[in-house]
Amino acid sequence: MLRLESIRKTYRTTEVETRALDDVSLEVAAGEFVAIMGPSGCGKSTLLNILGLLDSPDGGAYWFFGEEVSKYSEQRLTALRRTGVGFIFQSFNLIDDLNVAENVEVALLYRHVSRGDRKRRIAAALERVGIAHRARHLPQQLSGGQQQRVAIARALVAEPKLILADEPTGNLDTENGAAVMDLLAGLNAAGTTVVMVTHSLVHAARAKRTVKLLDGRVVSETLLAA
Amino acid sequence: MLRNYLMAALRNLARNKLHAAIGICGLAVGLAAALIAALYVRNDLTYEHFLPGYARIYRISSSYADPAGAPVPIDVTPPDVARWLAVRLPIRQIARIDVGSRHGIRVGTVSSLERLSWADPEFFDIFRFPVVAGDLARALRRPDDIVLTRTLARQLFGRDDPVGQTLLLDDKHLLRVAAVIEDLPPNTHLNFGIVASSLASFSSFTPLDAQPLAFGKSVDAYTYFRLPQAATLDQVRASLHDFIAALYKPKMAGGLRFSFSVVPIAAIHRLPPAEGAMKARGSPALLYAIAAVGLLILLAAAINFVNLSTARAAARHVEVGIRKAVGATRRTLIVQFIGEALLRTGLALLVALGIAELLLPVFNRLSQSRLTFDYLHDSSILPAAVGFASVVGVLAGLYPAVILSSFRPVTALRGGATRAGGEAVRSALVTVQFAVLTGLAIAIVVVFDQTSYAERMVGRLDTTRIFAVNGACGRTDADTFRTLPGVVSAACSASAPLGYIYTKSFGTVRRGVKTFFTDEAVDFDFFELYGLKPVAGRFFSRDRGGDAAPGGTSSTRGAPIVINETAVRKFGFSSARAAVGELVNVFGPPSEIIGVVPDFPTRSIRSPIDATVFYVDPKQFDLLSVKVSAPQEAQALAAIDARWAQLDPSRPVSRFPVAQMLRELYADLEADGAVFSACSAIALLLACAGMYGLASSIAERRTKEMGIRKAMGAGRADVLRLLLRQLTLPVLWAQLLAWPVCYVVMDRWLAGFAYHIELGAASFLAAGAAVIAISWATVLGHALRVARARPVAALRYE
Repeated sequence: MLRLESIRKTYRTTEVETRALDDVSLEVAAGEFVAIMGPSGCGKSTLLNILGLLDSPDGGAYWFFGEEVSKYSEQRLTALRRTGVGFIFQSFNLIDDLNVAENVEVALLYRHVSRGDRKRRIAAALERVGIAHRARHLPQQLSGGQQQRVAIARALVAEPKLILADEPTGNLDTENGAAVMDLLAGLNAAGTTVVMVTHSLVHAARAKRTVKLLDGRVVSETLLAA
Repeated sequence: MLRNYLMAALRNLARNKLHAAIGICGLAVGLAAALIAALYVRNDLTYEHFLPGYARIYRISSSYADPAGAPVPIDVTPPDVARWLAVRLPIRQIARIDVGSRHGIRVGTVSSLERLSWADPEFFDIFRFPVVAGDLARALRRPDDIVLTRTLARQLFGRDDPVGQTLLLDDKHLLRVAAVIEDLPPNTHLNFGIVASSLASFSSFTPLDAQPLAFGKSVDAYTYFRLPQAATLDQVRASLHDFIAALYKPKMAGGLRFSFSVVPIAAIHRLPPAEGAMKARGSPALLYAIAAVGLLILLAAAINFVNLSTARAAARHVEVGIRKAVGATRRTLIVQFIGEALLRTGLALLVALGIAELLLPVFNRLSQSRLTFDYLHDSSILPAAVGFASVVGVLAGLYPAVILSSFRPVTALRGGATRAGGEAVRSALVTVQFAVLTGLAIAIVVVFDQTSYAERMVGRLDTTRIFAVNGACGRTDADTFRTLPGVVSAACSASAPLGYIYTKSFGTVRRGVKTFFTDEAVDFDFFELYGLKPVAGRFFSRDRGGDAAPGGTSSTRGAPIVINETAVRKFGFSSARAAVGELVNVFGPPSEIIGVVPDFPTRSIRSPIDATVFYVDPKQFDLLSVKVSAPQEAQALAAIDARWAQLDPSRPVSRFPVAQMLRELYADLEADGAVFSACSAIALLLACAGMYGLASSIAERRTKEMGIRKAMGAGRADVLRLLLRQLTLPVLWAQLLAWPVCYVVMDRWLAGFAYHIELGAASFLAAGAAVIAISWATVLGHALRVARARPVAALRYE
């Protein structure tokens, strides 16, 4: 369902040119749980951003659910993203001025979901990540683990076919990290494709396949026994 | 250490040129605007202060009212009031000066036409003007004394001290210059040309003073007195009451009320408009508006500056952290920040002085004032500006200094707690700025509407290429000019359309209708010349011999008359059509109304149009109106001047375009509009700067949020809508704030006009829409940048 072919991405400043991705090819099948690993600066986040249509590659081709999207305009990417992708970030990226329920609602706002329907789905999503009792709290009143659960609720509320998680446990302690991994595994078990960037071997082990990156290239792919 | 701070401060300025420029220029514009506003307000509040002992100088004003009407104030009094008071009260310094009229003046071989007013010898005892030459205290004691202003002295004699020299009045009377005074400053209600002694046998007062005190003397005089310790105002008022009771009450027609009031001269400038005013009065609404706007602009600029400084300082948390780490105390840091802010406000003040210098002539031209900015001799304006700039500087430095210096070094280094707060404050500030802007925008729309309304009123007269020649019809008739080459048409009148004399008649014009009215003699072709069409009936016709019959009391039938629309109402007719053919008693015997002419203004648009009765009476003709053809205009004007020279070689021709004279009827309105526009331009600049600051801070703060929203599928339009909505809110609040205040102020401003537009929702909506559009234009750049940013860029922003 996702297929990258010879993807290249370079970042330029006036002085430095950084090749973030260099000839990356990768395929992710429906219902997979893929972990992307590698040292800092190897291009993991860039790869995830391209997979999630947050960024476009400089070269190569990308088939997103059968559509070649590498040359798509921002507008068309937005439309695809709106219906198909959920994001989970390392730094949670919750909006400070909105409470928990409103933060989750953001994922539905741009999908023309009716008000009543939104309410019902938000409640269900918060229930699912175990944070329903904090629906009226602001992000800064929550712990890191709780904030990440809100972020997960936001990612799953729209029922996307693909969830991308950028070091979802990076800012969490072991216990909260494990809880987040349980949630992701649960989502995957329910049929959602999950692609996750992580530094943690333990968390990577929860995935069905691990892709290792080094200096912008895929160096190994390991299929783990499920 | 000081050097280290100064270097840090200057480098900081140099590194953040744009930021520094916005901050300093914003404050400078605010200071400059406030300086000019302060000059204007001070000028307005110091009317007559240049006269020694001005607080004890009073003027007597009159007012009259018919039984139905509200009292109409008049600045002049009958000439006998001064004589009455002088013999009854211990007031020695009481004097009259008349309205003044143009006379031929000859000095050597040069002749010109100058305004001359007759005044009593005590006039200059009351008004001790600054003297250029001569003995002002003794001036006007001799019947041939005159007093000139410096400008007139230069103009007539080519020098400042022609004391003892003579000029020839109307080629008949020799007058001697007794003293020269400084030109009148702008902040006085007085306005006169040559002042000549009322003791002259040919003065306008002399024949009247020869008669006993009486009712109904025609010459009107401004009456002033200086109140001595020995007398009280109550005595003056009581004596004036007696004057009316003794001389006027017995003679006045039933129901007419006449009264006097005593006004300190310093207050005259702020009185409501009155008939016969020497000079157009200031409009208090404009004064308040300028004072308020000046203050608000200054406040907005100051808060903008403090805000910018604070935001700037927050970015310097690393410097603060390092300075603290190496041992700087809170006190030294506070001193450093305040010092830097003072440096910037100092620069702003210098720029402000430059801007004020540049703008003052423009402002003077717009507001028709003569303000000056004199650093050396002005003891209050500059120190006030320096003081204010210092306060702003200290505030701008204090807030960031206290906040930043309070952090522990490590917090400051991390920059953790320095997130620029105060967005609510900034939002409130932007609201206030936009409220000011909205208010001014509404004012401009209303003033513009009123001006074009006034133009339309005046525009009822077609004055294209019509020239008025003073005194021509007193010497010959219109036919003399009608046959000149290039002249299309010519007609005589007593003074129409350039203002009637202030005397009015009062009487019973019909059964049960007692009212005031003005009468005016016009030629047969007069209305046609000015393109007027009868509302009903007809105008005067040469073909009907009866039309020319002069109004008199001897015949049994008065002259046929044309009345204006106001007269139709005042005389109690249901319509113009109903009035035609009716008989009214305006000249004693009944006169037939043969037609109705549209109302047209002859005095300031602030004064009501009188009920006016027109009739044909060549004996009263004085003013000639000549319409010339476009291709032969120059030729025609030359011919007119040549014909005048034959008629009266002793005086130069007094000829001027009527359109320009009528334009002066609403010139003060245009001044109001210009001042409001100038204030708005500055307010607009500051409001936009504030809005820009708010937008950049909001855009900065919400970049990440917009990234998240975009990751969640928000499109550009969604993001744009969201940002614009947030930025529009303060502007909408501003409307709510501005509208009621503006309604009250503009309603009062309009109330100063006898004929004015109605305040409608349209002006408010139009101004509001314009302001919202301006605010959008200001923030659109920021909003678009955020909306266009790729979500990943926005998310990586941290």
